[in-house]
Order: sequence, then structure tokens, then C-alpha cells
Amino acid sequence: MPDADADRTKELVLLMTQNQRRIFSYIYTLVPDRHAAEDLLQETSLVVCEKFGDYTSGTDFVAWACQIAWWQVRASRTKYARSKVIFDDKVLEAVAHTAAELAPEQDARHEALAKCLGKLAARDRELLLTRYESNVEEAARRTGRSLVAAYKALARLRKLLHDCVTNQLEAAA
Amino acid sequence: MNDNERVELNELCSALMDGTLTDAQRVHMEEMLLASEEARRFYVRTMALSASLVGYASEMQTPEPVNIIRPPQWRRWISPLAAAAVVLLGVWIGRSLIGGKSGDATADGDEMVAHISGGKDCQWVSATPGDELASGQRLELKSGFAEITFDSGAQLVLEGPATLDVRSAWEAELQRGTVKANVPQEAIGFTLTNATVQVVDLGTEFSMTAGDDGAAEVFVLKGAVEVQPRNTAHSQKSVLREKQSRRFAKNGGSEVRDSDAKFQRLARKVAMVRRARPMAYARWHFDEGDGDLAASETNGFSAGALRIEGSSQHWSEGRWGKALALDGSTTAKLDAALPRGARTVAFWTRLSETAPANDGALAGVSMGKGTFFEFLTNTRPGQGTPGALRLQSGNGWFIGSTPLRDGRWHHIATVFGANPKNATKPGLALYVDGRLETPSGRHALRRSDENAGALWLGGAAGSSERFHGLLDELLIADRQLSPQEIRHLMRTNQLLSPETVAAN
Repeated sequence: MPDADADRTKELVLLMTQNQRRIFSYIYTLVPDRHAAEDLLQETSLVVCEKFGDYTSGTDFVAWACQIAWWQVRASRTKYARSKVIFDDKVLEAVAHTAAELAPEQDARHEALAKCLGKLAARDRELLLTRYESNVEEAARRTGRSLVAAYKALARLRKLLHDCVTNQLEAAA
Repeated sequence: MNDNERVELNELCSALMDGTLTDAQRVHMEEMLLASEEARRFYVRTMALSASLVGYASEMQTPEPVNIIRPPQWRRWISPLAAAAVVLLGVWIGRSLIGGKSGDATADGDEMVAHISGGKDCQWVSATPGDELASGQRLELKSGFAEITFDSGAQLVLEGPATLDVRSAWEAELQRGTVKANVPQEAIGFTLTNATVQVVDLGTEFSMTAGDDGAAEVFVLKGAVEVQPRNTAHSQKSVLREKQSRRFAKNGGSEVRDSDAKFQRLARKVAMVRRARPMAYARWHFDEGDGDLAASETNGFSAGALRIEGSSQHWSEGRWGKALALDGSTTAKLDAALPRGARTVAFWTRLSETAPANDGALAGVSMGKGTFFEFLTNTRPGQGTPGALRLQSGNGWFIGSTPLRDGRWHHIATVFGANPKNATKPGLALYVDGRLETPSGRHALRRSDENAGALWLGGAAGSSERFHGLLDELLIADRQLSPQEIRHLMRTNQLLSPETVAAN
């Protein structure tokens, strides 16, 4: 492999590893199902690799990759329509627009979330993280809650964290 | 959006993610999102928060590489990757997001949780137990007195004939005989049980006598305890205060007969014989206030001055005198190797709430016969309490439960024990502000020989990351400090002399 190509490959790998979370977050916002979002991230990564020649070094990589992700989501909407995790076209477009607009604040929110998780009771934290690591049933079982109680607690905790993150950022500003 | 709409939208978002959204709810949600920019912002932030939680959850149980140049947080999420071929990208991304469980969690069954700290005319039923006591171990005293110090700081004096089961650093069960418990403030919550009653200490001195008939009598000498009868219809909790007593049998509670006489007998002090345990140590007080050397005070543990590198502003007001200010560029290290056999590492630290969350390590110390520990604050919520002290050794970790980033001084003591039952799995106890921490997460700590003899502060030589925070009064000792010694050190900045320990 000529040196220039090797450098370009390194650049691609670095950009993908550094920005994977941000691209995943964008996709998940449009398709809020972990497995679907992970599949879409994979498909997006493959297209990013194929089209990397079109990317100009130094420009906003995340915005460029999210554009590709957007088309992947659009192209696969019939596939996910049945699982109810995808919205109607107009809504999807509006949400995608807002997601792109809010992209700059996401890193700070991600960091602040770690602190907010630290303030939760251990049992609540376990419920949340187990929910995201496996599923609601397992999270309910592990924390000794009924399924109904677990759903309720999850909604409450998400709201609590949402507010906590917002407060943290306001306090820091 | 008003508060009600916010709550409603939050519930709809949760229902969508958790798969319980009805068609009608979905239509309503779409209407809300189309109608309001504020609703869309709320939605996007909620979903991004969940995406972050997917990331944090995937850290659960995934080992973190240690002592290499640590990449930014996100890169730790995925498999390390050198110059990977482009075609591989799709595969490893998917795998790494799912995040595999790996390694074995440290078994807690054979953990050392207490030790025999003194005795008088001790006669054991069979073999004399070793000094170190494991969870699950039974003690059978034929006659005399034995003093047992739990890692939590609770101290029991067992009077033979007696049988006691050591359950954990926080719990013991009296089968028969008499036990007197002395529980300092730091060990509040220590529990002594018997077939008929559970006694939770609220900071006291109390006694329990278990007869052969299965009944138990509880006497409070100082302070208060919470008692709860077991296996009866009336298992309501109640509080017993100073000079109160109660008898618990299978059929319920009753008055203690001859209570006054029994109190008098229990109030008698038994002079314990304790072995004076000499200790070699090195201390760095960080009171210089200027220059690039932090001198050591040593006693049989030959560790010299720490050489400080980095910015010129590396001193600050400390917890006691001055302190070392690790400002994100400062490091300090020992020129020569640290002697082997360090068992206790204690220091004061103060971390700001606003310090970067993903910082370098506070310290790296080679302990025992060569197990290297890095002291960090935990940044991985999936593995334990964020912001709590994290001890990392090889691929293993041990995370405390008290978040430290609050701008206050905290006293940290780590006691590293040999584990007679399994030499490859070292025992570890962590004290924060004198109280034994229940780990919020632990994983596969084992002996390793890397970095033998190393001692550095603020960041490893091979890493570009540097710690932000203050460090004061570092002590490294060649034996395990008892909970009592740790409390004394914390309160007075002095070491208890072996003679004082023996005489108390």
C-alpha cells in the first residue's frame, strides 16, 4: 500500500473511532432501538469507508457521516416500520434537523450524564444500566421489581437524568 | 411546553424505547413533535441520553487496559485496533457496541474480613485459628477471652465457652456464649445476629448472650441499637437504649431477669493481651512548600524523596500543612525502587467538582510482593459509582462507593492483604474517611508482577494524561493498619505507637 493510502486509512480509522458514539447517538435518535441502531451504524460505517474519498480532511466529519447515516435510515425505513420505532417522513425529517442542530452540545451532556448517574441510588443505577445492557425484563428481575414497576421507574429515572444533565450544564455555563 | 406536557412527552419517549407505545400514543407523539420545536429538542435530548446510557451500560464488566496511554473515553468502548484493514470496520463496530462479558469476577467466599487482635487466657476447642479470619469462618472458644477486630472497625470480645460465625466485615452470628461489641462511629450499621434476634448497631457498646436454649439477651452499655426479633410473628424493629436490655426467645421478647447484676458483670473491663506489631513505613508530608523535592520520613522502609516534575506551581495549602498540587501537568516519582511488601497506602486528597472527568491517575504504587495498583477516580458508571476511588490492577478493578469529587478533603486508606487461601487473589480493603467501603464494583483482581517497585503520583511515565487534584500526607507501611489505626491517623495525622495499640 502506498504511503498516502496508508495515511488515509489511518485517518479514517481514527475518525471513526473518535466519532462512533456521536454517529450512534444521531442514528439512535431517529431509530430508538439499540439493535436496529447498531445495524444501521454498521451499514453507515461501510458506506463511510466506500465514500471516504469524497470526504475533505479537516471538514466536519460527524456532519458528513451523519448525512450518510440519514440516507441509510431513510433507505431502511420499510424494514423498521413494523417495529414501530421509526416515525412518519415529515416527523423524521424535523427530528433529524433538530438532532443536527443540537449536535454541538452532546459531548458535554454525555460527560454530565456520568456525574448524574453517580447521584442515583445504586439500585436505580443498576436498573437503568441493566435495561440498556440487556432488557427491561432482566433489569426488573435483577432489581427485584415487577415489570410494570420497572417501566414506571425507567421513565421516572430518564426524566430525572434529563433534568440533572440540564441543570449541570446550566450551572457550568 | 408546560410541565405536564414535558412529563407526558417523557413517558411517550420511554414507551417508544421500551416497546410499549400504542398506535394512538404514537400518533399523538408525532403530532407533538411536529407542532413544537421545544418538543423536538426535548425528544432529541432524551434519545441522546439513552444512546449515552447504551454506551455506559456496555462498559459493564469490560476490562479496561491499564498503564498504557489511555485514549479518549469513546475509544475505550471499542476493541483496541492498530492499523486495521478498512473492510474490518463494519464488523468490529457492531461487536464492540454489544460489548462482551469477559473475565471472572472475584469470588467473595474466601475473603479476609477480620482478624484476632487480642486475647486473654484463650483456649480454643480445636485448632487455634490464624490471625486472619475469612468470611464464613467459625470460631469456637472453649474458655477465656478473644478480641476480634472486623475490617469495618467493629470490635468484638468473645467470652468462652462461645461459638461465633464471622459472616462479613459488617456481620457476625453468635451461636452461643457471650460477646461484647464496641462499635465506633465509622462502623455504624455493624450487625450481630442470633437465631432469635438481629441487632444493628447505631454506634455503641453492647453485649449479647446466647444460651443453649436458643434464646438471646441483649444489653446496651452505651449508645443505642436497633433490635429485630427473627422467626416470630412479632418481628417488629425497636430501639434499645443505654442501660436497657431485652430477652429474645423463639416465642417472642421478654424482660431480662437479674438485669442489674448482669449489667454489672458486663461493665467489668477485661485487660486484653495484644501483641505489639512493629511497623516499617515511609511518609511524605509535602510540607516543603517550594522546590522540586518532597522529602520522606522513614522508619525501616527505605524510600527516599519524591522528585517533582512539571509546572513550577506544585504546592498548595494542604489538609495538614502544605500539599502537593497536581495541576494537570505535575508528576512526582521515586528515583529508586520502592521496597517490596507495602501493605497499606494512605493519603489525603481533594478533588474539585469541575476537574476533568476523564483524568489521569492520582497514583501508582507497587504493593505486596509485586502487585501494581493505579489509583484513579471511576469514570465508568457501568462498572461502579462514578467519581468514587478506583483501584486498577492489570485487567482487574475495585471501585469504592463514595464519590470524591466534591471539593472536600477525603482520607483514603487502602489495605492490601495476603490471601492465605488463594495467593493469586489478593485481598483488598478500602477506607474512605475512616469508613470501610463496600465496593460498588469489582472484577478479577489478581497478582501480577508488572511495574514492581514503582511509585509515582499524578500520572504514569508512559502516559500523557495527568491528574488534577491535591494530595497530602502519603503513608506507605509494610503491614496492614487496623481500622483503629486508620481512624487515629485520619484524626491526628499521627501513627499509633505499637505500645499504645497493645495497651488500649
